[in-house]
Amino acid sequence: MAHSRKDKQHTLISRDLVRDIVSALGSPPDLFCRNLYVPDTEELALQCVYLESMIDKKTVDEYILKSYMDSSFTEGKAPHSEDAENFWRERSFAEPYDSLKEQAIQALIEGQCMLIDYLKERLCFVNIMLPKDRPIDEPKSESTIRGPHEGFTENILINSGLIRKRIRNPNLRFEPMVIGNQSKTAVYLVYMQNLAPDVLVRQMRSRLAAIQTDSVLDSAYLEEFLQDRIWSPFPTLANTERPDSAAAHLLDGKVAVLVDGTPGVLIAPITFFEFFTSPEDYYQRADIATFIRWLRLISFFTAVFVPSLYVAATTFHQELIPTQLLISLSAQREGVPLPVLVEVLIMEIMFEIIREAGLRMPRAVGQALSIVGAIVLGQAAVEAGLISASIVIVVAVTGITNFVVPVYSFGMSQRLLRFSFLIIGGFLGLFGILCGALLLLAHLVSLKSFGVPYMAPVAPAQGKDWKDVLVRVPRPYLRPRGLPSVIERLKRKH
Amino acid sequence: MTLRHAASLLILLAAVPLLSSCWDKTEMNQLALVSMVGVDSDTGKGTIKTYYQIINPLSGSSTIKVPGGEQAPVYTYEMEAKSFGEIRSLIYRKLPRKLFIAHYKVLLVSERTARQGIRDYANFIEMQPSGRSSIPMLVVDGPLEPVMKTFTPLERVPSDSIQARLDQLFQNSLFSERNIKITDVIERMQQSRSIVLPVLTRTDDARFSNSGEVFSDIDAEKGGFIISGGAVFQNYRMTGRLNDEQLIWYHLLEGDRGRHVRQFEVEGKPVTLEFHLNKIRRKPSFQSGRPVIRISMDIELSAAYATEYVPKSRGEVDKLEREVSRAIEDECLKLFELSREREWDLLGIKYLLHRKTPDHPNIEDAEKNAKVSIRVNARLKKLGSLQQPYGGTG
Repeated sequence: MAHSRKDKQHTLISRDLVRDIVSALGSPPDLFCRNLYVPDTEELALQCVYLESMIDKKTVDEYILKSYMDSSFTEGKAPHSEDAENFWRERSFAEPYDSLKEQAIQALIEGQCMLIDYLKERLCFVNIMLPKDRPIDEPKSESTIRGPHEGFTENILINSGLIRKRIRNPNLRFEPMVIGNQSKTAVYLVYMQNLAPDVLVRQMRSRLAAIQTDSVLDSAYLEEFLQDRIWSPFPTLANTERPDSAAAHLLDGKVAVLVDGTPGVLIAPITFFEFFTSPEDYYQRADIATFIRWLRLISFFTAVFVPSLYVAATTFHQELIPTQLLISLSAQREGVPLPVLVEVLIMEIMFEIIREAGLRMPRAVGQALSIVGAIVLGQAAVEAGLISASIVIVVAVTGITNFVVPVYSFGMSQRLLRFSFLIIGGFLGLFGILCGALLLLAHLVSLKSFGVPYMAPVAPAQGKDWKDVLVRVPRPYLRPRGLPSVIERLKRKH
Repeated sequence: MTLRHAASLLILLAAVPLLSSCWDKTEMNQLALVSMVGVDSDTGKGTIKTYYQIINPLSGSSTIKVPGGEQAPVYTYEMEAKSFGEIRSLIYRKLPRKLFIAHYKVLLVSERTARQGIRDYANFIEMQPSGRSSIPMLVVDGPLEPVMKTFTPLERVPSDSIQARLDQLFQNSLFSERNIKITDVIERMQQSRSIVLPVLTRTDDARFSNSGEVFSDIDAEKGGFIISGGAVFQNYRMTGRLNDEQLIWYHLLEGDRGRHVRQFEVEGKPVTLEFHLNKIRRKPSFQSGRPVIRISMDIELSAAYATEYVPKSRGEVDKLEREVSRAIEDECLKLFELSREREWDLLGIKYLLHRKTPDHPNIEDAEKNAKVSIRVNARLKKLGSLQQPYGGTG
């Protein structure tokens, strides 16, 4: 049945529609077209079009096609029952042909099934998307011993539900938007209307709206658009896979960005010291939480400064090393052909390579890799006289301490800083490290995350919030109500 | 903005070569770690002899397996030059590594050098930016060379052995004190006070050139050295010596708190007591123009080592305390008399008077005329676990 262009605009339902869709999608192998004919005739009664990879085929067979076939076909007539009529009444819609075609393609891609009733010239979409979500699992990068074990999944709706489950408050707002010219990814801006400062929500909304990108396959895609300063090793947005953490931030008046297809939820604003806190801090006793927080701080300084201090002290400032230790280190260096800086650099780079390889290796090979790493990098290299034993200790200590910080992205910053300080320490000694530390401090105090100073509440000093920075005071004294000072100030300012 | 950043970066990079540490870079295995320095002088030739004892890091190291068996823990290099400064260049005719003196622990001076004066060496150390003067200084009785080439058991590095012995002596005796560092010498000399430095004496003439022989010989004293006696310094020169007995009272009057055990006589009977200074007060005053120094000391006694006699009653305790106090007073006064006779001012009287009357026209004379009274208040605070030593004739 051929139709002119004019006919297409007026005739809503035609066989050409299906043909055009198939052609627009490039005749994909998973596109199925199921036809139902009026019994004993060649007349097409119903066509069911769907992408098999996206829908639940069982539902199509059992509920849609079967029920349609069970309905009594009267000769030359469409099945007629009250239920079927209601079904069509609710769903069928009329659109101009071009618009209808676009919508049909989008619906099919999203996992809907298109039903075309040729007898009554009507069309509808049925959402029977096959759920392809993994179950709610414990987050891999932020696991805790005590506290909830739920983690976000790749499904934005499930993630929204996980937040709603924790904040049963009508002020919780989800603002949907679509980002990505090609990927058309659903993104939700989430905040507490009564708590989050308007300026913060506005800023986040405008930054999200300004994003021009083809695809958003992970929240990290957005992070680079949203962050305050691109050229900084420090993240100015937090990324969490924990609904309890996201809920806690929202209740502190912050905003969250949920991205479909990724379990990582972005949180803003964030400060430097918040990277040393873990949700578990609030599920532990205050004294233990404080102790662990100090461990994290020590680990941070160890991870960043130990290799550079070792190189600086052993290369430039031997008088600072206790005599016995110097003799011992000196004994280890005997016969080692490389300078200390090169030794440390080689070991650090080797460690990073093994770490990267370990991330991508199959689980079964991973163990072999760690054995090879431990033996090659450690014992064999020392015994061969290529490196000194103390270097292995330094690299191992920094490697371990790097993982103590609860936020993975912050751990990455540590790695970058470690290498920078290593080079500075190797060329300029302690003087260089001091200069580097001052520059780093200057950079940190100049950073802002959505208008909030990065080093708050230490610089600028906001005594009220110090109860949860270097120490975590017991909960009755820990701001039982109200917002953190930084958010409060942001709210007052505007 | 970008231009400003680029300019800042350029300035920063331009400043980098100016940083001195770039040229300071030295790997640890390029260093000769000096553990002990010995200074001697040859008056005949007018030269200075300096001995550097360099640590051999590989000796006794568990991490590095050294071929050829046991190695000497230290190597001694001997350098002769006309001045101390010259040595820093001449040494590299013998030494393959950079001389690194920041970690040396002991300075030894031969007696003849000490008697000639150590002012030059003190100045040399203080003038060097990397000079280290907070280390103990000892005087060697006799030639310096054999002491510098002596191995010590237990503490393999001789300087460690000397330092450890000095620490033990300070805690468990009154033979030594903490303030015997080069800085203390300089400070005392600048205040025109005396200082007594420990003396190192060889135990016998036996000599080992192989460390293995020392470490495998059961006789720990063979070919070694001991710390015994003190060298009195006035105005950067050694002017005399104190024996061990005199050292005890000198250190007590100096205010040292070491616990010393000594045998006293109480009613003609020997009794071994441990004593240590609790408090000392030195009060200078003038009586009819004559300076008077009143020294009072509170001393704690312990009879824990008194195997000979244990006081049993309050009366006996009082008597013991009185007799011991008197004995200490007598010994201290004897030391004072010796000090005055040799013109040493071991009690620091001149310094005390100067502090009391900074404008005094003639401190030297005042010090010579000063009357010194010493009062000791000894109290028995501890007894041993036995009320009475076991009897019998054995």
